[in-house]
Amino acid sequence: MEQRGLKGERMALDCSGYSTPCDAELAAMEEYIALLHKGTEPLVEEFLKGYPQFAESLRPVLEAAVMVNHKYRKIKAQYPALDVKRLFGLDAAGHLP
Amino acid sequence: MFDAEAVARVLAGDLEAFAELVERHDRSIWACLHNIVGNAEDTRDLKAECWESIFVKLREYDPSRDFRKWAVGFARKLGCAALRHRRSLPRMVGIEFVPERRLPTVSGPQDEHERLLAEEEARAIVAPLPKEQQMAVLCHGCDGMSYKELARLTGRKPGTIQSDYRRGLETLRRLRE
Repeated sequence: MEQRGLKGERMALDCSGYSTPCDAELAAMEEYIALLHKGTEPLVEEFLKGYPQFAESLRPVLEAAVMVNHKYRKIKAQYPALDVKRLFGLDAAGHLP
Repeated sequence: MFDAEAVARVLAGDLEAFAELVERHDRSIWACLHNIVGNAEDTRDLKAECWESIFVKLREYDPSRDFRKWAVGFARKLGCAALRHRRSLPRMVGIEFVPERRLPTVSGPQDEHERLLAEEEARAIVAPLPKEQQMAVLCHGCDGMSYKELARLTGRKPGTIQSDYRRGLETLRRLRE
């Protein structure tokens, strides 16, 4: 029991750094990600002007999304056969490993 | 960074630094060669030849590049050359010469090796994250899979995957600071 309590405490600490976004903020995040996927990639600051109420909490998330997408696209350009589904064992038939 | 330092030390005459490089990257070289030539005996011979070439060409190494990729490039060239050479040799059966028929194709194993390298690089982007967050960031954020599709494949809730995605990004951003 004591162990479970400690684990719970640790998990609570681990989650303490995360923000808890509302639905509108999540929708704004998804809107930006959709633009990234389309390849338009608007500047984060420009995009956030449309959502000033979420600017502080969304900025780090969107910046990280841009950073990760750049790295991924660089690899994908070099190795077009890269399939991230395979990386996690998610085959086309929809089976987990 | 470690590799570039080791190369600089080798160029300054420190042979132990070369041994460090070999220890660090020998498996990648071996895997690349074995994928191409397909047998352990040839792989062993070619590996020694490969490290010899790397040592000779070390001055040409650009420290801004990934040493492993640069070194594996040598292995790939040597492996493909060996395969071409093997294909050009006639094979004696009885008194007739017939071409070798049971050789692996060059493109297959090489493609496979490149795919593995790419997967390794992609995973490195999200390496500090728990697996669920890695999956959300790469599959949704980079590859464009929908939460619904990911939920179907993993048996998890779309909302949970979205939460993993956001948390993964927050962690990566924090780590970058």
